[in-house]
Amino acid sequence: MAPTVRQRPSSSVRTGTMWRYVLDLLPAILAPFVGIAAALLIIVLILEWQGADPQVAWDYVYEGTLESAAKRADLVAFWMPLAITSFGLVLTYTAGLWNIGVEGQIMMGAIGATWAVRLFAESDSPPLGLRMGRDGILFMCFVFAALTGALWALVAGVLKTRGGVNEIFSGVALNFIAQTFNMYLISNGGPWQPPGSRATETARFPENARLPSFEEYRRLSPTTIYITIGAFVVVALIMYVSRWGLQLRAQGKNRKSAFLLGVRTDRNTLLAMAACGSLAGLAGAFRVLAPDVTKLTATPSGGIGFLAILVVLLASMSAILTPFVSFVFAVLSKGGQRLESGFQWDHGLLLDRSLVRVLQSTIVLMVVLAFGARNRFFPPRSALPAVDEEDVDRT
Amino acid sequence: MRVELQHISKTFGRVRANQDISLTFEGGRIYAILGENGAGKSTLMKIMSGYQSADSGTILVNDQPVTLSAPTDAIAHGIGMLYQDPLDFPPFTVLENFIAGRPGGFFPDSENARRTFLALAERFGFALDPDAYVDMLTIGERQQLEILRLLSLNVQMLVLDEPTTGISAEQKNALFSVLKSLARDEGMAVILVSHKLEDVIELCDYAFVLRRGRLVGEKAVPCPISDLVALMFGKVIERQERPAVVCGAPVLGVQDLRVVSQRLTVEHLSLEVCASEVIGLAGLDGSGQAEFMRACTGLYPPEHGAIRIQGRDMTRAPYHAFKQAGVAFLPAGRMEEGLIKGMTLSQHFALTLPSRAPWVNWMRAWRVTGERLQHFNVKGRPGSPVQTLSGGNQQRFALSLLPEKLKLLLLEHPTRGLDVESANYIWEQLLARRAEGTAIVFISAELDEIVTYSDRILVFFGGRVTLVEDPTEMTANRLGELIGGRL
Repeated sequence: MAPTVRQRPSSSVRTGTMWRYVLDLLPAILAPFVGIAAALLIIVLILEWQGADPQVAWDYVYEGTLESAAKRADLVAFWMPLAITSFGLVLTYTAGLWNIGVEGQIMMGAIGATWAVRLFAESDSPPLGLRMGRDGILFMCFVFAALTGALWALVAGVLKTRGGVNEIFSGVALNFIAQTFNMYLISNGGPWQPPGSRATETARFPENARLPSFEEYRRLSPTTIYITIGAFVVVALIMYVSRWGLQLRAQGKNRKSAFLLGVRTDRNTLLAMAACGSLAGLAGAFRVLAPDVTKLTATPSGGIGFLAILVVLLASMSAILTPFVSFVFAVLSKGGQRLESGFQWDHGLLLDRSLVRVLQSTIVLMVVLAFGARNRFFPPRSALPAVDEEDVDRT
Repeated sequence: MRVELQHISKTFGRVRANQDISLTFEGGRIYAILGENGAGKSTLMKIMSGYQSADSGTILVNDQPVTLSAPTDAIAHGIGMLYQDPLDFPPFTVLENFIAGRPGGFFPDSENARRTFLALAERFGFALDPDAYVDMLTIGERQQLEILRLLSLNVQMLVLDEPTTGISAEQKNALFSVLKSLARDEGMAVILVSHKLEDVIELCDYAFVLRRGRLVGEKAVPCPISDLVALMFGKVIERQERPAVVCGAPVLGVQDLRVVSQRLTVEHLSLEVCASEVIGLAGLDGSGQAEFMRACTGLYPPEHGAIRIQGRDMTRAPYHAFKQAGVAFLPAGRMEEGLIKGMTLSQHFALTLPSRAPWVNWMRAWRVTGERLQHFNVKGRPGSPVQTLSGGNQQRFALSLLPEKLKLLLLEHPTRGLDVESANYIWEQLLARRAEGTAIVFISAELDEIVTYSDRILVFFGGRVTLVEDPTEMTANRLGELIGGRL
């Protein structure tokens, strides 16, 4: 291509450079599509191998998520905590912090929200004699959830800035600790298990600690939607308008340079972790306060923390893309449940539970691979160091 | 044993590390490879020891062409290399390290190895306990272990890269006597890679001198040190006349500072720098000048002593406090610690322009970027990612990012890798800042640069610091001798 461009008369040099930019951009635009196509191919192969008709499989996914208004409401109820967690992760991943501990932060948020319910709704003598109505109680639930999630994230942050512990390792450990702490609270006569109960969960929350829900869709609460939209606006403002977002970007690309240029990298690390932890904590609150749950269970997060990590990787840390990608993942997750039950009941075909996870991970893997291939084989001009060309000076 | 290098060339990107180097080593003699930093000594030795491969050229061992694609190949041909940093496994014992890398079965024959080790150690008079853990040993003892390991592999040629850095005087004497006996009695070829002229004169029979990747001379030793200095540094432009400094108020005060780097300790360093003064820090890489400079900007904690900025005690203050006090630091690795790859020029300005607002004023950042790019003659657009600039432009851009009013500017190798024109331009900008009262402290490996621009020179060698008060009295040869450790 390049020689034909160069042979053009000099009057079309501008179009020449334009054309080169388009050629540069093309692989970047195509990469995610190529990745998704490759992932779909693999998924179809896996389904065929399992004896499931991919067409039927897609019908089940559609039926389980998008076909009816009730299903769509359920989908949104699942999407909100996933999306808000992803928004938080955009901040840490942009700053180069691999916040694997987000799963534990969600769990601590769920515990924090339950704690607030116990303090303000279930107790006969609430702290400071605060007797609140439903709105006040729910507000305290969200505040507690955000604070506990942020504190849990700050543990990893302080370990990193003060102790030099990689946030991945502390995150994995803190996930375990959060899970164990949760089990201590609600199992084997733990302090939050109702007396005489053998189920590993708390009692259902009282009426005044349940999120309001839509009249016709009992499992979806408008509150979670408002909070998630608010979080999206804040994160988008941070990422695209604020100086802090620019600083996070800088330290994510080169922490040492950013520090020497005057960015307070340690403080930003702590702030980004705390912000992400509080959003993850809110997601935990969404999960336990959801109108169809209203109790702290053994798995309050249901793995949405890890799912959100995949979302942010696939969205390549773009705040704008995150809602869409998390929506696709919500469809895959909810649709996967229907796919599994559908094949079991209608076709007597037992698909493995983890199949959905395999599908989701395959997509991420393939898209990341496609981006890698693009950088390897079609490196964008802008990412290359200056080369000796006639239009580049040689100083 | 006879090793011949023929027309060896090696380039790293744009850097020509070795250009058409041909030389011959014979058994029974001790050779020196001399040169400043970046002259290509280490690259050449790594090629000879199979650690790297040359782009072109031939290596002949006993007149047979050989291909050395890994250090084990080189050892099989009898060439062993002792690296500057000992290549051992500190959590293991001396004996375990000795066994590692020896040919043998899956289960090491440790009894046999122990006998070999003790016999060799006795022969050379090394007092090494085979069961001691390596992390308890001194650098000198670890070197001894490595030498014994190489000798047990029957190497006929021993290459030593800066072996006398970080070892005691007794260990050096022991090392030199062993090396002499290896050459005289065993007929081995010994190659000493060094920039320490004293060591070369004391030990070697013959010296090859490299400069900027080329073999520029060879000389039978002993010879006058000045001959070697002249070969190493080439012709040095003498200092031009410059208006004398009008020394302003003291900016940087260093009192009895002690900084400990990985290999050596710089002690009793005291210095007063006043406004509008330029201080050049001369010395070979790793002589402590980088640590000293980083200590002066809060990036490297000194062990002892005090640092004052404009009379205020700033010892152990964090980097940001120094920055607020008007101190700026420009490190040598432009893309590693200075600029941010993947961010555009205007994003860099948006990041560094002082502002109280929580949002980015992109209009202002864009405008300031345009102005500064023009003022500093940076060839690039505000929207260009910084890594697309060429080296000289990157350096000018890094300078343009510095705040306008500075008390003290610390620079590491401000013109490294730049051509003469770009280097002159950088110095024009720096001298303009000096005229405004900024004190400048810079590290450079170029003697010309030090002699031309410094008002005073601080020479670092082996933990000692010599202050040259009047560079007009300084000849480049004398400076070269100071750098090489000859006081």
